[in-house]
Amino acid sequence: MADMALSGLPALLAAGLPQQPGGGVTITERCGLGIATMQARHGQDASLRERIRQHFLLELPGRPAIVRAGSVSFTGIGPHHWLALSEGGGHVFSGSLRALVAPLASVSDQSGGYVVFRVGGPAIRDTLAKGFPIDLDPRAFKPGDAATTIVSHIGATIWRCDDGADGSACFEIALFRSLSQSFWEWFASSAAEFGCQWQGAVQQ
Amino acid sequence: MGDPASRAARHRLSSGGLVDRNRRLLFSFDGRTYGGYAGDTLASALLGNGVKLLGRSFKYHRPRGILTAGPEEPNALVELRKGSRREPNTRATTVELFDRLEAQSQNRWPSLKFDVSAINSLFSPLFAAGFYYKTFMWPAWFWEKVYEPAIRRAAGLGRASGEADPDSYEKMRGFCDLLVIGAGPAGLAAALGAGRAGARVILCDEDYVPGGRLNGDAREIDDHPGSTWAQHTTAELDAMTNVRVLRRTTVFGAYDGRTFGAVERVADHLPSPPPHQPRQRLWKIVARQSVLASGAIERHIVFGGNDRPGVMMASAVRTYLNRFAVAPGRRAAVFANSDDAWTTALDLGKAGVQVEAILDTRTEIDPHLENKAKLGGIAIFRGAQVLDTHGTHELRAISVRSADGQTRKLAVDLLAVSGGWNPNLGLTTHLGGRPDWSDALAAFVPGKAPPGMTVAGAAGGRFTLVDALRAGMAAGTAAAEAAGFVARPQPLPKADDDHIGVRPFWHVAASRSKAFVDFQNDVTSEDVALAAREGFKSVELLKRYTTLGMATDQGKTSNVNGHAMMAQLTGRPISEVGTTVFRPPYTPVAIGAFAGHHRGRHFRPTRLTAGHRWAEQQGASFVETGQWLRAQWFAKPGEADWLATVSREVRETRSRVGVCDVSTLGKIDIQGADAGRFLDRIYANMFSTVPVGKVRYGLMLREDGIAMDDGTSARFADDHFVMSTTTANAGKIMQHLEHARQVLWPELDVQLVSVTEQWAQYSIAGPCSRALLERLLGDAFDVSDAALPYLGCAEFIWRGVLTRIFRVSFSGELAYELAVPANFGDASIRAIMEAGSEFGVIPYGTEALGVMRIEKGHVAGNELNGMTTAADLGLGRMMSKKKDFIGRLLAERPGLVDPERPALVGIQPIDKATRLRAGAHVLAPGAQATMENDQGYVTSVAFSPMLGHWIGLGFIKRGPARIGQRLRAYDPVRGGDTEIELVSPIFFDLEGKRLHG
Repeated sequence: MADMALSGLPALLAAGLPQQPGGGVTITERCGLGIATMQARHGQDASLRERIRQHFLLELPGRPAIVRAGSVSFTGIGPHHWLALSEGGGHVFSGSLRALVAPLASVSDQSGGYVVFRVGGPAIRDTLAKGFPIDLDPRAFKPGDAATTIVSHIGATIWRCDDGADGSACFEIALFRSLSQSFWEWFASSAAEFGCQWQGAVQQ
Repeated sequence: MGDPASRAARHRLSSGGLVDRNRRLLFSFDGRTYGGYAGDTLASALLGNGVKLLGRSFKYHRPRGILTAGPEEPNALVELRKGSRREPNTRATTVELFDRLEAQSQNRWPSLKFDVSAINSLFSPLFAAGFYYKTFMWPAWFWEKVYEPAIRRAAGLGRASGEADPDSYEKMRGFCDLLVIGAGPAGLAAALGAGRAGARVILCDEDYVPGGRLNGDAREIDDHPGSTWAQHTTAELDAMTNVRVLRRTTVFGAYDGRTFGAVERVADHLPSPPPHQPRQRLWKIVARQSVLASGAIERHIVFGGNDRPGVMMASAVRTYLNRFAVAPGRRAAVFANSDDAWTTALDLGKAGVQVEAILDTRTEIDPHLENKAKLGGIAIFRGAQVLDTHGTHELRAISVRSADGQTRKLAVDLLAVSGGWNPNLGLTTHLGGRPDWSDALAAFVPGKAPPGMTVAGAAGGRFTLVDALRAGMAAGTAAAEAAGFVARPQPLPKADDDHIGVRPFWHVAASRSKAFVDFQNDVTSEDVALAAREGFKSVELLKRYTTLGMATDQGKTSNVNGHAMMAQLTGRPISEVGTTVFRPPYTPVAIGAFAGHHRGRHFRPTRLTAGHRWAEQQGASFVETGQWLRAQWFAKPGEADWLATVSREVRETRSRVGVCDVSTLGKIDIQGADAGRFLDRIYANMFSTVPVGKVRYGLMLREDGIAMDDGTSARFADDHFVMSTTTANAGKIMQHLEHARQVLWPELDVQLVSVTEQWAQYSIAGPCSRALLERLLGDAFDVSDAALPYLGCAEFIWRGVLTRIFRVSFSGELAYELAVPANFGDASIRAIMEAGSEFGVIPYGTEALGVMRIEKGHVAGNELNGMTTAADLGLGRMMSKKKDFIGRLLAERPGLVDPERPALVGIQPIDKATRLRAGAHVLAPGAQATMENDQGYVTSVAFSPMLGHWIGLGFIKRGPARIGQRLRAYDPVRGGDTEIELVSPIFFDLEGKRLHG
C-alpha cells in the first residue's frame, strides 16, 4: 500500500452545499495550490527582493497587496512577510521556493493550512460587507489590493482579482482550513438572498 | 358607534394621502378585525377606524391613545404579532401596516376598557416621585420576600414571547464619504448635493417613505407638493450608483472614529421575512462626513388631563390628515403657543373637520395667520389656556380659561397641542456634546457635534423649509468637496413660506387635575414640584428621582418641559438649568440585531480538524476545546457509559495500539540563524544544544516566574525548529513569542509562523505502534529503534506527501506522532486505521488521553493553572543555570521558592471503591475545614483502568516529602470527605520501560 499516492480533500465537500436560484454570488474552492509563507531573514529584505525580482520578474509588495507573475503570486501579509501561492505544486512548491530564497528567507509549507476561495458575482460586495469590516468598494480596494483582516470572527486574507468577464467583481479569500465550515455557514447565509452558486472545487 | 365600515368612513377622508386605496389590508387589534390601506401605520389605520384608546399608562393605568405620528410616541405601545414573534412595546405610530397584522393592547387586565389597576389613580399620592425609595424601606427583609416580587409583577410593559426568535439577523458594514441621517427636506438636499458631485453617500431614514415633514405637511417645493418633490428626489438618488438609500433604517448611535450604528428593519413590515432575508440588519457605518438632518420633535404643554385619548400633537394631526387621509376627530380645537400649530387648524378646516377654536397662549399673533383663520370661520382666543379635559376613555370636552379669566367648556373630540419644537439633536450628544439653550428659538440647539458632523435644517434649530433645503444642499456639496469631488453649484429648490413664531409656554399652573410631563412614565407636574421641594433640582437628579425622560421614548416629548418647569420652580434661566443628554440608542434596538449570525452554535466560529468527518463516522462524541471540537471518546454499542468506553480505550491502547487526533496542539515554525538562541531565552531549559533530528520537552515561564506552558520542540535543521504548545495556549504562546521577537530581541534573526493548521497530526501509541507504522510507511521511512530512537524526529515523503514523524509520548507507551499536510489528514487517518486493523487498532479520544497522562503523572492545563512554578510541578531541575530566560529572575522570589509551597504529588483513596473529585481541598485527619488548615488541593482525577481505582494529582504543601502520609480530600461543594494517601505522581510503569518498546 506504500506506493499509492494519498489524495487530498477539498475543505468543503460538494454534497449538501446549496445551489440557489439567482446566481448573484458564486464561490469556488481552489484546490491543489502550492502555498507557503515566506519571511525575510534579519536584514535580508533587499537581497530577497532582488532574488525574487530576478527569478519571477516581479516586485515583492511592501504593503497589503498581491503581485503575480505567471502561476505564482506573492501577497504582503505583514512586515517582511508574504503568502506565496502557486497554481498547483502542493508541498513541492514550498520546497523549491525554500531552495530558491535560502538563506535570505524562511519558508514554511502551508499547502494544507490555508483554504483559498474564489468569490464573485454582481452581489459579491454586498455579501462580503456582511462579514468583512473593511471597505471593498472599487474606489477603495482596487485589483491587486489585499488585506489581512477578519470575516465574521474568522481571520482571513482577502485580495481583489481582475473583474470577471461580465464586469462583476472577483475576490479571493484565504483562511485557515479548520475554519472553512464556519466560514461557509456565514457565507452561505449571507449570500442566500442574492442566490448563491457553489461552483465546486477547482483543481489547480 | 355603528358598524366598523361606517365608523371608518367617518374618519378616512375621501381623497388624498400617501396611502394606496387599491390595496386594502385587514388587521386586528385586541381580537377585533379592521381594515386599512397599504401605506398606513398601525396608528393611522386605527384612527381611520375611529379607535382612539390604545393602551393603559405605566403607573396609573390611565387610558392612553395616540399622541404623535412618529418614533417619539410615548403612549401608543402595543404588542405586535403572536407566538414566538410576539414583540412588546412596539410604537403603533411607526408600525407599517401589513395584511393580517395582529396587535394587542398591553398593561391592562382584564380588558382595555375596564382595567382593574386603574384604581392606582385613586392612590396616586402613594405613587408620586420617590415612591419606591420612601415606601419600601422597612422592614429590610420585606424587600426580598414581599416588595420586590410585588413590584416586579406590577411593573414593566408588555410580555416577551419567551420563545426562541424564529427569524435571523445580520450585520453589515457601510463606508461612505457622507452619511445623511434623515431624509426630510434637509437630508434629501444634502444627499442630492453630494450624490450629484459623485461622492459616496448613504442616506438613512427611519420611515418607510422618505420625505420627513414634507409628507405630513401640505407644503410646496418648485410648485409641486412637497411629498412629490421628495418622491422625485428619492428616485433620482436611488438611480445613482454612488448613493445608497436605506429606508426603514434608524441611525441610533454616533461612535468614535466617525462610526455610526444603524438598524435596518428589513422585514418588520411583513408578516414574516421572505426566504433568505433577515428580519433586521445592523449597520456599522464609517463616514468621512455626516449630516444630521433628523428634524425636530414637537413638544407638548403640561395641563390638566393632557393625556386623554384625543389630545394629540398638532403636527401629528397634520400628518394624519395629509399623509394618511385620516381625520383624528370631528370637532377639534388647537391649543398652542406658536404659529406652526395654526397650520393644523387650517388643514383641519380644509379636511372638513369642525374647528371650534384656536387657543393661543400668546396675546400677539401674526395678523396674516389670524386673517386666514378668520376666513376659515375659526374662533380665536388669545392668551387662552386649557385647564382640563373631560371624557372617560376618549376626549369629549375641554375646559378653557380665556385671557379675561372666564372659564368655558368646549365640546371637542380632538385637541391639537403644540408647545413649540425641539431640535432632534440626540446624536450630537452621543460623544459628549452638550446642547445650548437658545432664547430666540425657545429650544435647545446642538452644542459641539461629533467630528465630521454638520447639523442641517430643523435639527439645528433652522425651522423654515427654505433654510432646510439651503443648509442641506450646502452641507452635501461641502462634504463632496472635502472628499475631493468637484461640486457644481446646484439650483436651490423653491419653497413656499412658513411661520415659525413661538413664545415659550410650558405649564398651565391653574390646572387642578393631573397634568402630565412625561406620559410614558406617568410623571406629573406635581412630581417635578415635589422634586424641586425635596432638593432634587439638578436635571440629572430630577430624572433619577421622578423617572422623567426614561424608558423607550427617552423623554423625546417631555424632557424640555420638565427642565423648563424646574427652571421656573427654582427661579433660574433654562440655560442655567440645562438639559440631560442622550445615550445611544436613539430608539430601541433589538438585541438580536446586535448578535446577528452569532447565536446558538454560531456564537463563535468552530474549528474542525481534518479528521473530523472520519471521527463522526466512527461515532465519536465531541468536546469543545477553545474553538476546536475534539473527539472525546468513541463509544461502542453495548457500553454502559462514557467511563466504560474510556476505560476500554485506555486498556486497548496500553495492550495493543490506539490512535488519537492531536492536530489541535499549537505548532509554531521557528526559523532563522538565531532560532536556537531564541528558544534558550523562551524556555527554562536549554534548546540550542538539541541535535538536528531530535525533540526536547520544554517548559516556559511567564515574566513573573510562574509556569506558562509546556510542550516539545523538534529540530529539523540548525536554523529550523517546530514548537508544539498545548491546544488551549496556542494563540497566547504565539503572541508571547512574537512579542519576544519584535519587542524584546529585535536583533535576533528569528522568523515565526503558526503551522498549526498546516499539519494533521495523529498520535499512534501502544506496544503495537511500531508494527503499525512499519505496515503503514513501508519503504518510505524506517521506524526501527536504531533509525528513530525515543525523542527522534524526521521528515520524508510518504505516498507523495510531505510527512513528519516525532517519537514522543504523552501516554507513557511506545508512541509516535505522524504529521501530514491537513488536506491529506482524512486520507491519512483512514490509511492508519487500515494499516492497524491487523493489530486491533482503536481510536481514542481526549478523555482516554487524559486518563493515561494522569496515570503517568504528566502535568497539563489543570496543573499549569497560572499559580504554579516549575518546582511546584516537579520540574524544578529543568530551570537551566547556564543561561538567562524569561521568568528566571522573578522565579527566585522568596514566595516562589518557599519550601512550604504546595507541590505536585499523586493521590489515591484509602478505600479503593471511593471516587476522587478534582477541586477538593486537602486537610489533615480530624482538622477543621478552615483556610488555616488547608494543605493543598486536588487538580486532576481519573479512574485508572490499569489500577482499577480512582487516582489523582494535586498540589500539597511539601507534598513530595510526605509520600505515604494519610490525609483527607474535603469537597464541601459536592459533599465529599475522603481519606487519601499521598503517593508518587507516576501511577503506572514507574520505570518508564514501556516508552522504549
